[in-house]
This record gives sequence, structure tokens and C-alpha cells, in this order.
Amino acid sequence: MLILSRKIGESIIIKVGSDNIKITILESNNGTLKLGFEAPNDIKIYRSELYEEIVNQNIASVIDDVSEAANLLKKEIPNNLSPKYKNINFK
Amino acid sequence: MIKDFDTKLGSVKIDKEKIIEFEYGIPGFENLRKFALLQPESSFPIMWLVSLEDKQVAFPVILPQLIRSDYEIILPEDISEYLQLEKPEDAVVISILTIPQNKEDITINLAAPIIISLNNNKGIQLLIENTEYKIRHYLKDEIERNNQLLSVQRNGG
Repeated sequence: MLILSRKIGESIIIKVGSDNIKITILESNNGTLKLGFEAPNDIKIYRSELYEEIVNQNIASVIDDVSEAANLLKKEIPNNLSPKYKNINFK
Repeated sequence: MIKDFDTKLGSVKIDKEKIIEFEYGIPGFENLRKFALLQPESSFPIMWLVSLEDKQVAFPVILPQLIRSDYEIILPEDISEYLQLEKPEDAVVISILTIPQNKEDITINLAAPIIISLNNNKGIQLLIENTEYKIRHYLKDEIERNNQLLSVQRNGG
């Protein structure tokens, strides 16, 4: 692991291919750091615990057989339910 | 062009045009790019998002609005551009189910849905932040909530 020391207002740049990701230390308050990120739109930035939760959930979801769960759902979900497909809005 | 693929569900014939490409990977499975969405009659209403590159990998998925009829997400502009979406019907939104031994504990991931574009066959797992949606919602709670919601809608006109 590369370790760097930075003061408030200072930043680091991570270069991925031709993309630059700039991370600036904005504020420090009782052990909590506030960071600012500047990156191209297609670079997604996550809190690691959240990203790892998605990873773990995805891994736990891989399964061989869903017949029992499917039967349960057939019983529980009303037949007359017509799904609404238009559930996306655009920013 | 139709090709045979070895998948978790056995050998399946997939039209090349129906292959969904996850260029950014699915978290935890970043090395897998090609998937297909299958709906075997036997597993209805659960669909399978199967890897076409690793026959060990398949996710049980469902249309989230079957479980939560008021489910709604807002797509960031860069994502709708990437998926070439112009209207809601241009995409299929699915949620991954986690099905443990005890069927009482099935959960649905409403915070990180998978969006599949019908316009360019690209897919992405998106993290929806700052909403009430969580990575684990108990299916039985959701079904109960939804039944209440639907009965209010029916009675309220």
C-alpha cells in the first residue's frame, strides 16, 4: 500500500489510463475527513462498505435452483397484478 | 445468428442480438461480460440472468414492481446516455433475489437494480443512493407492504 500524508486543501491525483481522478482533503473534524472528488462521469465513486455489500450480496445470490421460491411467489403475488413497466425517470 | 451456450440452466440457444453486455462488469463478477436474461416457465415469475462465459454463475432476478408496485428510480444522465435510453420502455429493470435455505429469509436488492437497455443491449448494475431502497429487503415484508398498498388503491379508487 502506498502511504501519503496530505494537509487540508491538498490533493492527490490518480491516473487511470487517460483519466485523472483528483481527490482533495476538504475538512477534518474529530477524526472525520471530508473528501472532494473530481473525476470523469463514467468513473463511479462508492463508499467501500456499500460497494462491498453489493459484491457480497451478488455472490450470495448465485444459486442452482429457484423452484421452491418461485412456487412461493406464485402463491403470494396476486394474479391480477399488472406490472407497471415505466418505473424509470430520467434526470 | 443463434449460438449454443453452456449455462447454469444447461445448454441454451441464444440469439446474438439478445446477448447483454456488461462492459463495466457486475460487482463481484467483474471478469464476466456476457449475460442473457431467461424466463423458464418453471421458475416464473423469477427470471435468470445467466453468464454466457461461466456456467457456474447465474442470478435469480425479478421485476421489482411485482414486489413493490410503486418502485421507481431516477437514472443519472450519463447512464441513460450510455444505455441510449430515451423513454422508460427502452429498458428492463430487474432486481437480484438472494434465496437462502430458509425461504422466509429471501431478500430482494432494491438499491442496486440491473438496468438492461433494449436499444443497445448493454447492461449495468446501478447503485441508487439516498433513497429508502436498501440492498436487502425481506421479500415477505415487501409482499405484505405491497398487498396493503394495492388494497388501498383498489378501495380508494
